[in-house]
Amino acid sequence: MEAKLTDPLRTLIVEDNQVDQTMLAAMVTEASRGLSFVQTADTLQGALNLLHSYEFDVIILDLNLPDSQGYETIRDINKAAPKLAIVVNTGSYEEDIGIQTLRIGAQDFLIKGKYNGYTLNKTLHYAVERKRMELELILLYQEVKESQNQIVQMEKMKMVGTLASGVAHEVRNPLATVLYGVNYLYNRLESDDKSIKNVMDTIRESAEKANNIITDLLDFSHIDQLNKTEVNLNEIVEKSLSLIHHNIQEKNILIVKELDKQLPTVIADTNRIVQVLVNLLMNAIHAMPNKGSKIIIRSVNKSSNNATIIEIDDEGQGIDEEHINKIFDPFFTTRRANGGVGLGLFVCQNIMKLHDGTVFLKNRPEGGARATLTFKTSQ
Amino acid sequence: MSTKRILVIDDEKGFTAMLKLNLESTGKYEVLVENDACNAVATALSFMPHLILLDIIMPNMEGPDVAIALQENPLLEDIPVVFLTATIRSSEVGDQGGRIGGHFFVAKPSSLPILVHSIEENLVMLN
Repeated sequence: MEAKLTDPLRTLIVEDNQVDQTMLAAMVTEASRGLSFVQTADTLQGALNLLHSYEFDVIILDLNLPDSQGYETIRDINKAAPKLAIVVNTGSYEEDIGIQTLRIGAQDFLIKGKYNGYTLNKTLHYAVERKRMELELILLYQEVKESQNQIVQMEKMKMVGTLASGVAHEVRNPLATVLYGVNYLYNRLESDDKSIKNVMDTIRESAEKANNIITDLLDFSHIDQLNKTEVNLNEIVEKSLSLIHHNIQEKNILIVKELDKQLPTVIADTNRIVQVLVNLLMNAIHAMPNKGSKIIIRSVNKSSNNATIIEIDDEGQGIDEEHINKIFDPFFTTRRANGGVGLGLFVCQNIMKLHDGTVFLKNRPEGGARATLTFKTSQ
Repeated sequence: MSTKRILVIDDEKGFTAMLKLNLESTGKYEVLVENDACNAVATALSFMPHLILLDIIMPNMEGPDVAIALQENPLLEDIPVVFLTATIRSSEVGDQGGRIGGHFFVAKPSSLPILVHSIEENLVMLN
């Protein structure tokens, strides 16, 4: 949009000298042929109140007000209205003061009595334009920073993936040795000494836990290899449930299936979606320490949005508010002591992204958590 | 029932020692271990196993090359080879082991019953 010097500006004049204030208001009004919205204040507090009530393009700011002196005045205004262009109106010109005001956040400065209507108007318009460009640059900087972070994150993950494959091979061999060794000794054990059996169980469980961690890392390193076909999500739900049948039975958990029989197909990699569902279901199971709890798994056709949705509701303790923004971060886990690596949800999210889908987790008002998977329905 | 001869070709000495103990403790197998893949064919020819358990990543010679060398020998070509490897996950081949490109794979580590199941399945196919 082309800006003109005659464009009216919403202007706030902050000046405790009534004569100066009246003169400035008259000059601004005249320059815009009476179209500018002009408000005046003679204290910082008065200015802050007006900023709260109205939107302004520019503020003409005297630095020495009854309730605020010097650079602090600029800082307070900037804090209250970060998008507002600030033109400082100083009583006496000292070069370093002028430069300093710009460094603190003003766009320009004027010396009282040294400008006329034209220069005032030009200064205000230029200040607004400078502020607009500054905000654009900040936005651009944030975008660049964000994409840079994403690239760094991706590189990091690629590195972890490569490392995981290499480490997995090296670590699984000694793990297999430990497991087979313990297995052999266990079968040869003639003594009924429970403490020996306990020690062996502990060794075996620890080795199995380490193996699970390695498997998680391997799952993660193979994340981008997809084999997509047209699939029915209800069938994938059934397959996932059958895989964790043992865990469900062990905790005596009631599974309630509310599956939409008219569910349209989606394009997906069955094994990967099974992986996502098993992960979410296992999280739900882990979240419910009490036996006999219930998990509801639901499939919904949202034809109006061209989406197919899978929801998993549990009756667990829900997600801690302080964790809710971190749960999809790599290596974040609340179950580290129990062998959690913190890649489960991160991998789920990446798998869903590779399917142009999403995964969300939130607490349900009635207690427990809800995981929601959204897929695009095939056309 | 006579015991079956199993040749294990794997460079991990600790693992192969444990594997031999476990398999032999079932009473079903006589196990010979070869830790140097370069000697695989010679050892196989002298032992004439019913089945070979073969690691994939080994120094000097990799598992697939060993498998080709074994297959190229007319005396050994019919011996079933089961790849026992830490490079795959059981989720890729199923808990009971499975085929990838015509070869049978078992993830390492797998429990002894799973390994025995895979060995037996391949021995049955041979008969």
